[in-house]
Amino acid sequence: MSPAEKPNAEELRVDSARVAALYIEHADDLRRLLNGILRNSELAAEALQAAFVKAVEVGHTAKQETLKAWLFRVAVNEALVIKRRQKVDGEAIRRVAWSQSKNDSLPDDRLVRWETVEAVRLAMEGLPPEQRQVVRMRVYENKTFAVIANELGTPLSTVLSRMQLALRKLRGKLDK
Amino acid sequence: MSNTMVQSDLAWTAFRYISNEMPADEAAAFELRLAADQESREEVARAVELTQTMARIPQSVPQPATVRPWRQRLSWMTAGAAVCLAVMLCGEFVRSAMVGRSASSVDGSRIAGMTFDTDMEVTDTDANDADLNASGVMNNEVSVPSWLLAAVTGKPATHPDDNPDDDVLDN
Repeated sequence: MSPAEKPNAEELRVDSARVAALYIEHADDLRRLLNGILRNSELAAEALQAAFVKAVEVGHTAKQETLKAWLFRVAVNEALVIKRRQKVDGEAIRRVAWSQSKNDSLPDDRLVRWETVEAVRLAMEGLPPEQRQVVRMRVYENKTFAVIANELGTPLSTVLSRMQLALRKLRGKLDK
Repeated sequence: MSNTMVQSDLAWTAFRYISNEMPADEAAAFELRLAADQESREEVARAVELTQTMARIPQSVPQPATVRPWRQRLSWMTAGAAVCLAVMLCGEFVRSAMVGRSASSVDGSRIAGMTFDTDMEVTDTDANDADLNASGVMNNEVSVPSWLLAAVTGKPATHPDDNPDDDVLDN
């Protein structure tokens, strides 16, 4: 290919309609992924924006069938870069991730469907009391598993097992 | 190991990762995996979605309270106090009943004494015995002394004016 035939960067850009479609299809999952890594909604938004900027600029290098995986990988890399840069303290970001304040809800928190919430709620009611108690203490009271084990006078392995079993049941409700 | 098991393990790992319940070295290893494995990335997104969904569930969902042992202890204490109170009341009732019975037996012996004292007047009450016998109701109780019948029916076996122990009985 001669220099004259070589397309310029502008021509290689992914068109805006395609980027918009990518955003509509994957932005929610990407935001959750980034929140999971960064545990900070503002940093997650920053990483998401950086990922889509890259998608616009160099998205053409990704094969169509792997575009989703490519986008997720780029997002993870952006998040890890931000994480290293920020040196985000684990305790501080955990506080944000588990925030339950309605005034401080995470951006994608609004995207949780009511039907899903109801399904998970019913599943929680159906959990054995000991599993429900661990879930409540972990999710609502934001206690670590070590603290929960100490308060309940139960071995840590038992607490972890209860949480794992509960999550397995609750997670199934997301698939429906 | 089945795919379900592997997926479950991955879901658990993702949950521990987003919950900051993972040692630093394991978290670093998982982040390397995130950079390469799409399934892990999606599982992290799923774990976040689940925790956010759970966080949106109203707290009114019936949950076993942390203070349950205290409540249980309090309810047991209340129940124990109630049982103690009931036992005390029963004991008091039994004791008062026994006192009443002994008082009755004293009265009975006094009545018996009266009967002996008024032996001559017993024949006056034989008519009552005869009536009872005639009605056939008390046929098997002919041996019951008239003083006992008098005590049961509350009618004096003799005329009160003639009874020397009348004052005692009134008491």
